[in-house]
Amino acid sequence: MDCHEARRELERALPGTDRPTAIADHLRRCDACRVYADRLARLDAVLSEEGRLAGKPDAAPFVAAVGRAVVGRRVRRRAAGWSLAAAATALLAVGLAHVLNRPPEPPAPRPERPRVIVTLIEASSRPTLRAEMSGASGFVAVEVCPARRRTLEMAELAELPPAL
Amino acid sequence: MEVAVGRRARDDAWGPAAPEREVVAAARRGSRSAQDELIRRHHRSCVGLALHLLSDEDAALDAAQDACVRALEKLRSLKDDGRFRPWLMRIVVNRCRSIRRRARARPPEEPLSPSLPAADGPASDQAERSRAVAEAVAGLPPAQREAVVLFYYHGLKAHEAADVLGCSTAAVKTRLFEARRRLADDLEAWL
Repeated sequence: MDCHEARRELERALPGTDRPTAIADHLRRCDACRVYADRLARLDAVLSEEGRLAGKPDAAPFVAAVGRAVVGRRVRRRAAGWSLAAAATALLAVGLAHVLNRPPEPPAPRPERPRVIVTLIEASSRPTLRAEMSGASGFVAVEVCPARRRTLEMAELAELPPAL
Repeated sequence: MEVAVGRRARDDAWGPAAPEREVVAAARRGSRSAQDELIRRHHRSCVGLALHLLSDEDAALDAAQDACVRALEKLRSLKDDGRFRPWLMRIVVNRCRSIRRRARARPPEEPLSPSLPAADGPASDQAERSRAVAEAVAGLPPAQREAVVLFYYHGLKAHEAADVLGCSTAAVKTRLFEARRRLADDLEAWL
């Protein structure tokens, strides 16, 4: 193992882990790498020590603030829940009242079946049908074959399609 | 009268000697005393972690407090009661990340270290070194800084830090490796 490899391995080795035998052997032989390893060890020590010096805030105000925030949020959430429930109940009540107090509606007019009034016009040699459909204006003339004239009964005429 | 485990006879009074699992379970059931005890035990880690990640005392206190509130509210989602601390630290880290994202446009503020000794007298060297270390750590990229803070300042092992940070152990080791190289250069005068 050369110095470059050894230093690379030293950098990769986290504090608290055992050094591989190859690195330990190299450090025994190489003063420069031993200095490098000591420097890294000092860095680890400095960093760990700074962690112990980190802020030590007073517990009581912090705990109290967290407690207040938790209670506050709980109250707000509960209030929001009650508000929501109240709004939903009010909406339901209004809807129910509207449904219950609605005046009875007159029965919906049933759609009237169109009636067709057909008149046989025999004024000329070519008799025609004159048809009138209720609810619509206009007349449609239909030619009737003279041969069928006699069999053209009113009942048949009443079943003419509404397109008439 | 206190029982052996540190829990008082009254169900909702919890002391520092009570096992963590029991306190967490009681806090989950809604015991206010257990919730207070949990926060009392871990507030220092939370504030310290947030302070090192944000380098701003006010923001760190807000982040830590917010994280604790969230943790107590979401306690039901904690799978293993014995792992409350890493779970809480993860919430703190996520909260700090979100604050940092929002403040990305702003220039970084001067790192704070509230317990630093005064600048006069024999402790001044220590204060100087602390300031230098704080600045060097604050100058690391956020991912490396998180790894350094959890590993060195909070004494977590690499796999525990990975758990808190939501990444692999190998990623934590790589971040530590890169951070150490950089810190060794930045803190050359103090080594």
